Amino acid sequence: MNSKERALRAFNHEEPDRVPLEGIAWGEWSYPFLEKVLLPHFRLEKVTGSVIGFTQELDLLAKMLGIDFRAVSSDPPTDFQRRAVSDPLFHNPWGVRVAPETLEDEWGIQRQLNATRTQSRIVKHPLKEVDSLDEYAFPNAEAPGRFDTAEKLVKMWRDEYATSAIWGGDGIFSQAWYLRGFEAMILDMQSNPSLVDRLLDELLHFYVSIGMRFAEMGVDILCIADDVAMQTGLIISPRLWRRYFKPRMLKLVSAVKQKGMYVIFHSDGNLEPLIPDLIEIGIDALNPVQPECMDPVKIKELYGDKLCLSGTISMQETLPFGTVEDVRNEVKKRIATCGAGGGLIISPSNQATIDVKLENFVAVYETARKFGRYPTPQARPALIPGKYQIAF
Amino acid sequence: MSAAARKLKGRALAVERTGEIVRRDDENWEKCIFTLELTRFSSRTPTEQIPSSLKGKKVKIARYCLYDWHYKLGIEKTLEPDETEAVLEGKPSGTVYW
Repeated sequence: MNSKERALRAFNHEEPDRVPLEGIAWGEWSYPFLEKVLLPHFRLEKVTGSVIGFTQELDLLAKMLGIDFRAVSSDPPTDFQRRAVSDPLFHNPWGVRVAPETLEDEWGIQRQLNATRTQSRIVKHPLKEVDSLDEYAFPNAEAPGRFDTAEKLVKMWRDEYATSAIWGGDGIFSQAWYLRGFEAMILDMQSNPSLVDRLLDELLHFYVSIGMRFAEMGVDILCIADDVAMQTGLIISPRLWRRYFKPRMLKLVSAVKQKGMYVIFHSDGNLEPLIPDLIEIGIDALNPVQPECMDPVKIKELYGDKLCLSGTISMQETLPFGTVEDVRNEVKKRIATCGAGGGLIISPSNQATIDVKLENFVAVYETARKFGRYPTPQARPALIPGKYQIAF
Repeated sequence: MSAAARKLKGRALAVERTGEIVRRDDENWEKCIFTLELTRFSSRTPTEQIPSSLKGKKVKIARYCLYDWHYKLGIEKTLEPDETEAVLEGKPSGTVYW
């Protein structure tokens, strides 16, 4: 069984040969851990910053860890890329340098690195002061160059791995407030619904176009990453989410599922009140199911026959502060309580930050590869090939 | 394997531990016989419904188990495509019978 079948069996709630492993997208939070800790440990070349070079190193790292998924994203168009730089320390890496440590992306959103160069924060919301969207030119999803890299990578990976795709940014809620500003967006939802509807429709049009292109190139899974929750609950009320976001997400999910894709929804935090809605609109899997925010066992018991759980290993406590034995115990417990019957994908429940212990991170994968093996019909149980076994 | 291969699912009602051990890389895998009550096709089996004559039918499948969680009952288990075809054709095989 190759990685692709293993991963898609989990999405179908079937038992594969072992629990599939995900890497959680490598982004600006995990870049320092990746560059300073993981890649040197595995004696991989230093990350170069070029997209293909970066991907080749991550691909080898993923092989070593046993990760069954490969992620692609769309890029800005070629003409923007010519003016821009790609800096992985930024939330949206592609941008034109407009000030020291500040990039402006193709949407006009400006982000600035903080003093420790570990986070980028938005310093300009391009729609913050406007009364109308008439003057704003939304990016063209079909612009040349947007899929050049993704197409090459999907072609390289699609037979062996489960490919997942993201448009290169966040979901409708997040992108809307990145453009408008958080406070203005929240106020608009109460006092200026026509502007919000127009903005979200423009974003939906962009996202559906992107999603359909991914479907055409044979991507297996569309990832919608849209943080709608914080540690203790939702950022906006369920009523507002259902009014503005649910119907649009239904259109997006329906469009790509008609093309045979699966859909995974990512949101940090506790979004339990929305889970029935997510299932209703056709979401296949939920990521990252942070165990500090939601109980994975409870989620599995309530929704596990319809929703695949992805992630679930504590990034806020066990990985940075626990021992290797703590990590092993957590992975084993998660598999024992949520793995039977399929529908479980294991990974750290967010990007690995620089305070994560290397041995803990690796222990997630080692433990899952061993303890996550399913009952098998063959007399010779399928063990994981030893080529990339990692030992400390 | 084709992604569209038919796969039947069934709820695990009972497990019989046979005591037959296969040793592999210092681990003892035990042959077990699970009794399943057939429920449906897996979700991506294209547009097919389980034949009414098979819904609720009890079949036995052989699986090799190692960890405690492998013996869990009440969950839905999935037949492999060859096992599914064996059930649909009414021809017991080495790993599925009734």
